[in-house]
Amino acid sequence: MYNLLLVARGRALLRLTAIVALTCIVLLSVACGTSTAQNQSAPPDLVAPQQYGGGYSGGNASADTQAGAAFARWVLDQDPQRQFITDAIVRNESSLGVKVQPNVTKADLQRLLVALTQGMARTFPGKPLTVIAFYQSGDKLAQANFDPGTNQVSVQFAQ
Amino acid sequence: MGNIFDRLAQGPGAMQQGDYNDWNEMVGTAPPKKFGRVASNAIQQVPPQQYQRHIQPGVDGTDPLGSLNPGDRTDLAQSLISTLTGGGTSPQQIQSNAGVQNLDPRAMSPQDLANLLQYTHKNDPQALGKVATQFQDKPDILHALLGNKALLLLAAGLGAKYLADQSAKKKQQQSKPQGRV
Repeated sequence: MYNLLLVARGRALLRLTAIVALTCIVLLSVACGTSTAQNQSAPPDLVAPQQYGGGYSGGNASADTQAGAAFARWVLDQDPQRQFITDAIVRNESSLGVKVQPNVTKADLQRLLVALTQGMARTFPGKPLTVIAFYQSGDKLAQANFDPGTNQVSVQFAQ
Repeated sequence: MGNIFDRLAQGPGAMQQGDYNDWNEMVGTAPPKKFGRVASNAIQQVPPQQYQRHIQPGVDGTDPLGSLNPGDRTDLAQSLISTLTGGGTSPQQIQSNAGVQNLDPRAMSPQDLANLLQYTHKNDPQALGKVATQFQDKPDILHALLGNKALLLLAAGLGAKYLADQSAKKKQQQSKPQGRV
């Protein structure tokens, strides 16, 4: 009887170990998958000032190319009162990061991102574009993606 | 074109009255030699594929040459052909190499002019700088000729100089003796 109990307990322990091991494997796989997805879709640094441009009109307008910096300055020029945008950073002439005022509404932010993406597509045509809005703290607020194949802009808000 | 959303969506080439004034004050008055040099440099920073997307009628839903009034388009075609032939290329060579059906500036279609501009952009981009110089105070034609990216680079190249000049003038004024009665 005691032996039977020991065998049963041993089997339960084995089953428990197997379940724990399987759970660990699944969790690890999910973590690795998420990490890869994040790395693949992670945009370049769109908050730190870049090589070209710099402080401009009370904000920052810079980029890693001359044309990008000129575009960043043009973006700030369109909002001289700083009603919406305070800073603009361009990378690879394909990604734009803007810091927005804290009081901007969700509807205005959506319109702003779509407009910025369309203007950028007219300046740097024929490539996929990303425009990201950041809080003043640098945390991501929302992202717009432009698909040159369909000419469509999609906007996602951060959770 | 009134609000910020419309302006941003149209891109840098779409100008309002105030923009024309700023343009003429800052860019239109630049020395032509410098303007031509900066314009040549700007257009060479636009890859052929991007220029093709800008200039080809209908691509990305735009038609910069077709949007020009016919007189401006004729002037642009005339200036381009004169610049190319002035560089030693015969009209027959231009027509054949660029795949242009008609080389009469008054009768060239936006498509023919687009083909000629693409050919020039690939083979003689400096000629586009020379042509741009002739339309220095006409941002609409310059936008059609160069596209948004080169236009931004052009304004930035000349604007930087302009701002530097302003800064130098201010420094000179500050260094002059003060308080004379």
